[in-house]
Amino acid sequence: MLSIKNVSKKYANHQALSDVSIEVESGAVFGLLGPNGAGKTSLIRIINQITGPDTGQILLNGETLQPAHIAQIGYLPEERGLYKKMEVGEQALYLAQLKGMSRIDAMRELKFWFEKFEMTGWWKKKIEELSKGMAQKVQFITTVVHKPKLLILDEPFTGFDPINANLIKDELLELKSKGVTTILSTHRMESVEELCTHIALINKSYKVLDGSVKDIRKKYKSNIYEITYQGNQVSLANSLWGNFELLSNQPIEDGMLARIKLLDDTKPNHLLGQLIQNIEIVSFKEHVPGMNEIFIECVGTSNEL
Amino acid sequence: MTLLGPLLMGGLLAAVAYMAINSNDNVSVIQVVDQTPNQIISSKLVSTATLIYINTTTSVDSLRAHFDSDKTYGILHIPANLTNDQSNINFYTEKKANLSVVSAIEKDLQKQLEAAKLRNAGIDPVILASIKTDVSIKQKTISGTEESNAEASAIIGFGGGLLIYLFVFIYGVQVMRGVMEEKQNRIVEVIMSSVKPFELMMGKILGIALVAFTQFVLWIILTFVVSSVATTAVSKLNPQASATMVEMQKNQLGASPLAQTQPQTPVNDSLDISKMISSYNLPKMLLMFLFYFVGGYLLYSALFAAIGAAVDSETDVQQFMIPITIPLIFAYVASTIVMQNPDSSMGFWFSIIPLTSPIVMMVRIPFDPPMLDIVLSMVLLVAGFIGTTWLAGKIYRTGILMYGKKITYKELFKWLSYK
Repeated sequence: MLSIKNVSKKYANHQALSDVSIEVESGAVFGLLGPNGAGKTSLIRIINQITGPDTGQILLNGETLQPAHIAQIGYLPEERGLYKKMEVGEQALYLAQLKGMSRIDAMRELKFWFEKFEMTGWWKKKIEELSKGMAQKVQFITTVVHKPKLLILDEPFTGFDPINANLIKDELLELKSKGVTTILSTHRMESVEELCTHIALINKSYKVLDGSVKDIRKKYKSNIYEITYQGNQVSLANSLWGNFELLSNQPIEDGMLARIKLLDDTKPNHLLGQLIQNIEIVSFKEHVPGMNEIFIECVGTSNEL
Repeated sequence: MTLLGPLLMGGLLAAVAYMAINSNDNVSVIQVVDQTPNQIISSKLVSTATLIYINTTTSVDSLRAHFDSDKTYGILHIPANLTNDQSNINFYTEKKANLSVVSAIEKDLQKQLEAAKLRNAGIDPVILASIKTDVSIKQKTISGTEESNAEASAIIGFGGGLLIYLFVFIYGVQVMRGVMEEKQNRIVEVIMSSVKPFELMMGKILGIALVAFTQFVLWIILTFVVSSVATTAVSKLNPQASATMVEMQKNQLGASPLAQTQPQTPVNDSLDISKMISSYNLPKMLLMFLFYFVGGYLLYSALFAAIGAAVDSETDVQQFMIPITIPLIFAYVASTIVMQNPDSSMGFWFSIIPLTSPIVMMVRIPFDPPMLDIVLSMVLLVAGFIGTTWLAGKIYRTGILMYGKKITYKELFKWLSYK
């Protein structure tokens, strides 16, 4: 769907992007992650043709990015606003027409969305009369009203109350099921885990990681198992001969929690077999790193370099 | 504001006329005690509708002792040796005297004293009056076909220049505010994803130009309608008041810089503008006005747009406004000078340089400057606004998405070099 090839961008004395290449598959929800100032917004602005790359190329469905593609992209920037003195409906119509819709089409689509979000009564209101949450709904509608094939959302959940955030989340999932590709830039890792199929992590203008969420989590699997048990700590320690490393062992509500790392090619069954003779196992599960941990690990290590 | 403006203007005129009526119905009765031989002064004082002189022989002291404020406004005491010493005239009133009454009395006394002095010197005031001569030169161009008048030309030119000055300022600032609003609202990034920065900037400039034009036409029509309605209504109520309004308008004309530089100009002549305008090539002047208005507006509003895009908040505006307002104000000041000598080298240069030409050339146009000057000035103005628009486009493009950065001139120059 979208290929970003070797894109670099430099502002006066600040390197925003260095040789970044990303492939976004059709129908993916693509998380663009990275700490503040990493270059996410610069990349997003380049995809939206607000600025151009210094070097590199961007292809949308195999074609070099050009003004005609504007109608296929929906963009919700991080710093978003609306004309305060303008009426909601008039403004939504205007923005939809800017994206190349005819007035009649825009009217029909907006009616649909306004009904869906239960805001038909707002049409004649001015933006300044709306609450922040209401204005955000309007912004979301103006982003998707022209049925973009590629949706770019920069920090879509900041500032939304939980109800609206859920509403947007559901809409995104519905759009995904309709085949819309979404690029999501966010700090909130829980929404990444919930929504994203693929991610790319950018740090200090470089892409440090990308791929499908599943693969990445597998790659960062650390062979750590969490065991809650009842019984004697000493008998736990006694049973751990061989290729195991006890990382922590602490009391929890109903017993003890031990985190054990399997070294070399030791299988979990092996561990279980040894433990089961000495202690009462309540639960046994593999510790899979969250996106949060992966994020911190990647950014942390690349910052040390 | 579009509709309110003319109504306010008409309302103001009506209110002033109304007040003029009301302030005039006070009649002041002055008791005059004249101790000069034969009462040469008081016998000649002429009462008017609002100021009535009553000559009396009662002494000042007894008049003051039996002062009746219902019948008398004040007591005027003229001492015996008046023709030699004017420092001893006294005017007694109950409270502090009304300024207009005092100045009216002073004027009357001065007139009578001057007449008395002339008679003493053996000069007949009637002869003197007949000697006073009013010279008004009829001005013709060498070709002799068209009659022109330097004063009228100056007024028309200056008026046109002033209008352009005001409009460039008002609507230029409006462009700047519009750009700032979009930036501060953060809507600009959404729009930027649909249109190019340059398109958005030009759209803003042209849009406001059309607003300006609509507003301008509406104002002219409405002001004309409202003020003529107000004038007829008032003059039906009181014919004297409408005379006052005409007087006021004359005074306003008299207060213009033109009258300050040429105080001898009889005001009545300049009121004949309508007659004089007909001696000008009106379509040509209108076209010129439109050209310089549009040209000046485009030139300056692009710069205003650049400021709006560069700054984050109202407080940062000031430092960047100065370099733009200075040439504007300078052009205005220069036009008051050029008006008197339109073909001077100063007039030439200021009407050529694009930053000042929209205003200064307007002043020169009624004086029929050489065609070469006009063409040169127009070409340079077009080049000028293409130049400023290009410049502004560069600053706009970078500035409009830049937040939270302290902008300096050095920074702006750096933006110009971005590709």
